[in-house]
Amino acid sequence: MAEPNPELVRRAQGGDRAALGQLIEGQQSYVYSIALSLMRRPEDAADVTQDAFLRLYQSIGTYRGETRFTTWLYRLVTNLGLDALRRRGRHAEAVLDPETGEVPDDDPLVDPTRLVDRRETAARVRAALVTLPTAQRLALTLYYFRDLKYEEIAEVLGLPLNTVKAHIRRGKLALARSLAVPKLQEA
Amino acid sequence: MTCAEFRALWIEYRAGEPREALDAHVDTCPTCPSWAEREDALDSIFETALVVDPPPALAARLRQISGLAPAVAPAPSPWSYLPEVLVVAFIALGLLGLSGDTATAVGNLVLNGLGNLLLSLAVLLDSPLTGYLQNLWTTALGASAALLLFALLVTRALSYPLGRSTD
Repeated sequence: MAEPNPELVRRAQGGDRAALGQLIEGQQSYVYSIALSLMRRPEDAADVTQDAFLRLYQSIGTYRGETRFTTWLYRLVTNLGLDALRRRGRHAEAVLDPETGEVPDDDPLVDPTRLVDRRETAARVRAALVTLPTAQRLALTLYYFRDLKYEEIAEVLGLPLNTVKAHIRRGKLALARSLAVPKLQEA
Repeated sequence: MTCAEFRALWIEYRAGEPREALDAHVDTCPTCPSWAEREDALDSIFETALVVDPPPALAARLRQISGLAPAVAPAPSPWSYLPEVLVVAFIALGLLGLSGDTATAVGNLVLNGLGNLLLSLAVLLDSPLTGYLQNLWTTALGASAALLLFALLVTRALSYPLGRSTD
């Protein structure tokens, strides 16, 4: 469960070092995963992650509890990542482009039980991830945090709900294909 | 519910949401249980690839951020200021030149145990108010004589550098 205890957040807002440390430790994987989805390069993701937690330290007092804490934090790191990309000349609108059209309904017929080589599987998924559009990768990352609802993912990304659903379905399909094609060729 | 509807809903299902309709379909459909099992396995693979821990060097840098926050000191109790308040009150009484009787009455009222401590400090520091406070003290609790005697003895024994000889 990514959402921290509200009492922990209140203590961190009151300047409690231990609570802030606990909050950072509990969220660092999620924040880093978002940053990595946006930036792709681990070094850039590390910089964005550190900036995000410094910003959290400076502005946690402004969190008023209108949304879940994680939604607020993930929005913060997403905006920081988009700003970093914008400084490199990429428009945020182009990064999180609204995707329209039907999601293809074909089934890549992958059988995960046949994927016995974990390292090879992970390598293939990672290679496929790099080829996904940023919005799909980011939506999928938030989807696999498990406890965010679609509406919350849409709020973090600042995208319409149906667009987020399309990103997730397309992203899953693309990743599944990356695992299915070689196996089908072998068969 | 058709299989297509089930599969669309399955993808949209999030932890904690009711899923009676999904379970009902799984219980009756010959093909969707294996499909759902495969989806779960794929989700597990994708989750591992997408949700990753930060490298140790970054984790160490992040730990330092919590150290930037100022340590929170416990709020002082209002009673912690009592000794200072009493000292100021006594000095004020002395400066105002109130009679010994008045000062004694006030002292009896507020001092009791704490007065002994203040008087002892005055003796140790050889304050100009020492004589005044000694006079006040003699009308206070008899049992506190031992404390004053102890303070005087300590002053002499140590020849406290800030004080003058009491002889």
